[in-house]
Amino acid sequence: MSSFILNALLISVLVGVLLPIVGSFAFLRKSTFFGAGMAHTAFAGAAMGIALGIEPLLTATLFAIVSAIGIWYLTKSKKLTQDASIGVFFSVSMALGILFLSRTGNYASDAMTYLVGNVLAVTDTDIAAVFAVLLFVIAAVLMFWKELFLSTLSEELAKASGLKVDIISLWTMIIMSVAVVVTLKAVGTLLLFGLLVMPAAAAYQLTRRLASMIVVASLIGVFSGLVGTILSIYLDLPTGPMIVLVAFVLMAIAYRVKR
Amino acid sequence: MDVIVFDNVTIGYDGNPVQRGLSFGVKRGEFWAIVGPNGTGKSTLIKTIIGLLPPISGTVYVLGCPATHVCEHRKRIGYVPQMNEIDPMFPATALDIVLTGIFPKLGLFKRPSRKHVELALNLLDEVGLSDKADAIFRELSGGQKRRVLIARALMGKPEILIFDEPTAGVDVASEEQLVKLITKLHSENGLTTLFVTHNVNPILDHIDKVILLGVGFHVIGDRKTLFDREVLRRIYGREVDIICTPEQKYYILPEDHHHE
Repeated sequence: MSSFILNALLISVLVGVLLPIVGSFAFLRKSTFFGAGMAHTAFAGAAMGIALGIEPLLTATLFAIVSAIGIWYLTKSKKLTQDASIGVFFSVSMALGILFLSRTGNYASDAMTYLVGNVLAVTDTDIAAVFAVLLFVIAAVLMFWKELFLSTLSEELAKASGLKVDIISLWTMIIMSVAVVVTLKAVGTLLLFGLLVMPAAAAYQLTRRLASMIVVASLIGVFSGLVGTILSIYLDLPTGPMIVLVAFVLMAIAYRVKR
Repeated sequence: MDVIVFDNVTIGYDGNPVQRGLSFGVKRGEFWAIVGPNGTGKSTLIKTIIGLLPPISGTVYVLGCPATHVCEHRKRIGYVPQMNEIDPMFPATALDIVLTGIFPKLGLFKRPSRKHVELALNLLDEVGLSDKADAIFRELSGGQKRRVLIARALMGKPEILIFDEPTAGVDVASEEQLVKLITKLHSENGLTTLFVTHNVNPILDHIDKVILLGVGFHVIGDRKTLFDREVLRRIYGREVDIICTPEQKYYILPEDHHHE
């Protein structure tokens, strides 16, 4: 098996675990649209990096974190609702991304990789970045399980218990934006949302408790990633759409089973 | 000793006052009702006591500590919020939800122990849900969900119990069970209890003191205040009937209740 296929399978597994973990919390906190917003702001950052000759992962991370803090601030200060704040950052980022793309000339195809994703284009560095973020996310979820559990169940109860809910919310948003950035190249801006939402939605139907929901969502994510990648290689079709379509089929089955 | 002290307090959101000049002291073991129509500041008052909202002016002390300070006193308050403050579809068992009541007392990275699980199971038994420990929270009835939240509030062995509209939206039988449970907790354990409600009738016999909230004004007094028709008329903006049954049970009803 060639190394790029091995890399593709490996990144599919890692992304298949990472996005459904953060997606489960986003799903329960009703902020999945935030993931879509982050994917688009990260895309603008990547396009800027390519246009300026800077490492796209760095500029994408910077854009996503600044946007996450901006959305958090606008929402917390009640200047805008969360969905409106995301909408603002989403559209401005896409505008910037397209402007940067218009200046990238021959490198436009690199930028397109961030838009539609390509697991076959990932490098060892990309895999290491996703693996590092995955370890960080798993450690954060385990260490702050009580805080995440209670603030997701009820912000009011969490605040009444003395938890700094705003800070938890900010960290959750930053972690989600970093998770989105590192998986962008593999899955792509347009399709990443699917792996955030669908495994979590399917697992919610099949499980009774938060911990088992996260585990099942990750299993569904891994299965979607592996099967989608293998199908795309054998059928010579784009990988991102295949992964998302497999996730969709699994979600449809989960809803059917539950019914 | 007063466990809750309000000294000339103005409460509200974002600097907009809802009630001004609130001054009162709640003694240990008392049962207080907070009554009034929508939008008069019942939940705002509760959030101020719990420390979720700072008072616009004046001072609030709870268990000897300023209410807005995040200190030990918060762990000695058991709070049962309105159901719309909880995600009703959250994936957890009833036992999981009850165990969250001990979270504030656990240190960073610590998990509930076997002892905590036993305590949670005992509390579920106390609220009449011993057979529902493994039931899925989202599949319980409205009344059962509230009893789970009461068990949760008891996990931290509170000195003050605060209920924000605990009987809203439940059927009459569930309302009766909830009131019986709450008044039993108050009388048997001597817990200071604050009970926010639209409908004071189910708890009328148990009230020591009452805060009646109208639009921009309030009346604080003992149980007898609730039988002052003039006060009730001002609070509700309409005439109110006070009915006494042969069993000496009182009911406060809008005057046109027999037409409804």
